[in-house]
This record gives sequence, C-alpha cells and structure tokens, in this order.
Amino acid sequence: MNEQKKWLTIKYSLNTILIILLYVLQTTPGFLLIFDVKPNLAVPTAICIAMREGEFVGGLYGAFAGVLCDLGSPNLFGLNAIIFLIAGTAAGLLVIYMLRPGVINFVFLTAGALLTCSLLDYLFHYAMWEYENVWMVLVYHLLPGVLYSAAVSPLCYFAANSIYKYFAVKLQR
Amino acid sequence: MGDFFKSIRFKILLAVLILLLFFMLRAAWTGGAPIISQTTGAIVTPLQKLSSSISYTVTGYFERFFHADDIAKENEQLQEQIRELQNQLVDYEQYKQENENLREFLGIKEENPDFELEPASVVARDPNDRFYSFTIDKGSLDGISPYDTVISADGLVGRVKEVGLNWSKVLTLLDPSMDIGAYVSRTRDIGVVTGDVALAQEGMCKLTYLPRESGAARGDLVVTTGGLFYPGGLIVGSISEVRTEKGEISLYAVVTPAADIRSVKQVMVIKSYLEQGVATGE
Repeated sequence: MNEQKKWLTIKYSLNTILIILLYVLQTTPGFLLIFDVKPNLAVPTAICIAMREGEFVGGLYGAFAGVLCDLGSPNLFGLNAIIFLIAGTAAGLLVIYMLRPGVINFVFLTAGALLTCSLLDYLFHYAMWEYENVWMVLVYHLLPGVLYSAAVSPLCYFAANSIYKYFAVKLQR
Repeated sequence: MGDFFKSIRFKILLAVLILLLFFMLRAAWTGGAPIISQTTGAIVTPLQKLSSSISYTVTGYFERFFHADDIAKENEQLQEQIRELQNQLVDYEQYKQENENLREFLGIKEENPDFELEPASVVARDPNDRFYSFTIDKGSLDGISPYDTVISADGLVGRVKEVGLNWSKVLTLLDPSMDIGAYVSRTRDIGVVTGDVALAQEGMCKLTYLPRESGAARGDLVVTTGGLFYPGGLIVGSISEVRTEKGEISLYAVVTPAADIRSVKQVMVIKSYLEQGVATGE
C-alpha cells in the first residue's frame, strides 16, 4: 500500500467513525433534547462529506448515514438510506457544477435533504394512514426537527471539514 | 454532468440503490431486520449502551441544577415534613418508594410465575420517533422475538417490533398502530387501547370502542384482557377523562399510562406466558 492509499484509508475510516459517533450521540436518550425534538447529526455530516469529496463518496456516505437512521427508526427499513444516498449524490453534483462548498450552502443542502426525507416520511407513515390530528406530527415534530438539525449542523460541518482539510494537506504531499 | 451518468461510479451507486430497494422490499415483506441492519446494529448497540449509561449518569447529576426551582420547593416541603415528623428520617419516603418499586419488579414475577422475563435497558431513542419508541439492549441472542410484550415495574409499555442480535426496537402504546385488547377493571367494559397523535404529545393514549352506556369514570384502572399478543391482567393505566367518539356511536377514555413511557429507562420483556401457549396450542 503506498502512502496515498494509506492516508485515504485513514481518512475514510475516520469519516465513518465520525458518522457512527454522531449517530450514537443523536440517539442517546435525553442528549440535546429540546421540547421533545432531537437533531439529526449523522446526515449533515454525510452531506458535508459529499460536498467535499464529490458525488460518489457522498452518495455512499449518504446511504450509510441513512442505514443508521433506519436502524433506530420504527418505520420501514431502507427509506432513509435511499433518500440520503440520492441526497448525498445530489449534494456532491451541486457543489461540482453550481454551488460553492461554504457553510451557508451546506446548511441549506442539509435542510433540503432532511425536509425532503421528513415530508416523505410524513406522507408514507402518517398522512396515508389518516390518523386523527396527524398534522401535529408535521408541525410539532418533523419541521422543528429539520430546523433544529439545520441549526446545529455547522458543528458537523466543522468536524467533517476539519478531517477533509487535514488529509488534503497530507494527500497533496 | 452527463459524464457522471455514463461513469462506472454512477453504476455502482445505482447498484447500491437497487440493493437498498431490495432490502426495503424484503423488510416490508418479511417484517424482519435485514442483514445490513443486523450487522450495523450489532456494532452500534454496545456504543449506544455506553453512551446511554453516561447520559443517564450525567443527566442525573445536572438535573439538580436544571430543576433547581422544583428542588427548592421540594426542600421546603421536606423541611416542613421534618418539623411535623421530627423523629422520622428525612428521606424515609424516598427509600420507601424505591423499595416499593423494587418489590413491584419482583412482584411481577411472583404474581405471574408463568412469565418468562428478560430485563433490558433503554439504550437509544431515535430523533425520528414520534411516539416515544425506543431501542433496548437485548435481542434474539437473549431469546426475544417480535411481538413480545414490554413492561416496566409500573405497567405495560408496548411491544417488540423488530429484533436484531443484541438489540430490539420497541413500539410504545402511544403509537396509533398499536391495538391492545383491554377492559376497565371496575365496570368490566371492554375496549381497545391505541395511540392518538394529539394525546401522544401529552404522553397519553386512549381506550376506544367503549359502549355508550359505559360507566367508566376518571381514576378507573385499565387492564389488558389477554390473548396471543399480550398477557391478561397487565395494568395499562388509569382513565383521565371519558369523551364521546365522533359520530357519537361510542365513547372513548383518555388513559394516562401507568408506566412513564417518555422517560422509561429499565424495562422487562415477557418472552413467553401461559395464555400464549394456550392460544397457540402449545
């Protein structure tokens, strides 16, 4: 294994560990809980990786973050993984062709991905079943969850971006 | 961008997408956790167990500061109590309560010798959960199966939805997809306990299909009827209010669960019980 491959392996392993750790934190009972709403930390990290590493790596990390979200979710396995695979790929492509990889764009992309997922989640798991007062799920849980996740997402950005920058220097040598 | 859609990287992503779609359809068809979920769960659950135990410890420590006002009020009350009951120890009530809780846990087993119980800890609560579903640290390796009943020392909590090797997802009785046969212990009126989106926000559920002439009232206990999925005689909670259903055909009761579903930390999974064997003919 040459030097370049070694650093790449370490970088991707660190990104994977970061996503797992943030997922563990986001599912820890009571952690960052405000008014019964918790932020999603794994997906913003995957979006940041997608913005920095491109559509291919971004899609794979998006799918990985989605699988983790599906793991704790009481709903059908796979929906989050598929949505975030597409979101990660789209984020990577958008940064390559249209957007600058800054923190503002990152927050908007994160909010967009989480909002899309939340709306589909709402449609398939709540609205279609026509539970009474089902709008409350959207207004009191899903939308505040998206806003809360977007608000704390810069922390994920700085964590994932730091890994990217550190290894960019190593890989340029 | 056209280059990307012709590239090998796009084809790999497409293959991953098709694989995930396959897992999703398989999960929908069989209801079980796919291998990818089993593997990830096996890695993540020990970490969640560690983080939840740290969280409980830290939360317990900081609660003193967060709830300073409540604690101050409680302190005043206790001071008053000390004056009134000079010869009693200050924390007598607290020890008594703890003792009662432990006795109740033991009592479940003593009262129901047919229950095969498995104690478990709540290790994760997902940000996506709307009805306070959670993950416990026990799975198929401990003999837990889907549809097993989950209880706490206070009463019914819910049922197991999905099982991994060392973890299980639990749906609580606040979830509208739950249907639990139950009756009002005083009047013997039978109904179905289910979740409700609006009531779940307040940590409550409802007992539906009560007859119009039902005499159920505030404070009445609601208990499971028993059957294939839930043992009989488990306390669901107490009635807070009785309301008329839309269309005024029947009544429903708003039920405050006996178990503190939103913050329960320790639960017991009933792996098997006598009525289950009778119902399945075993």
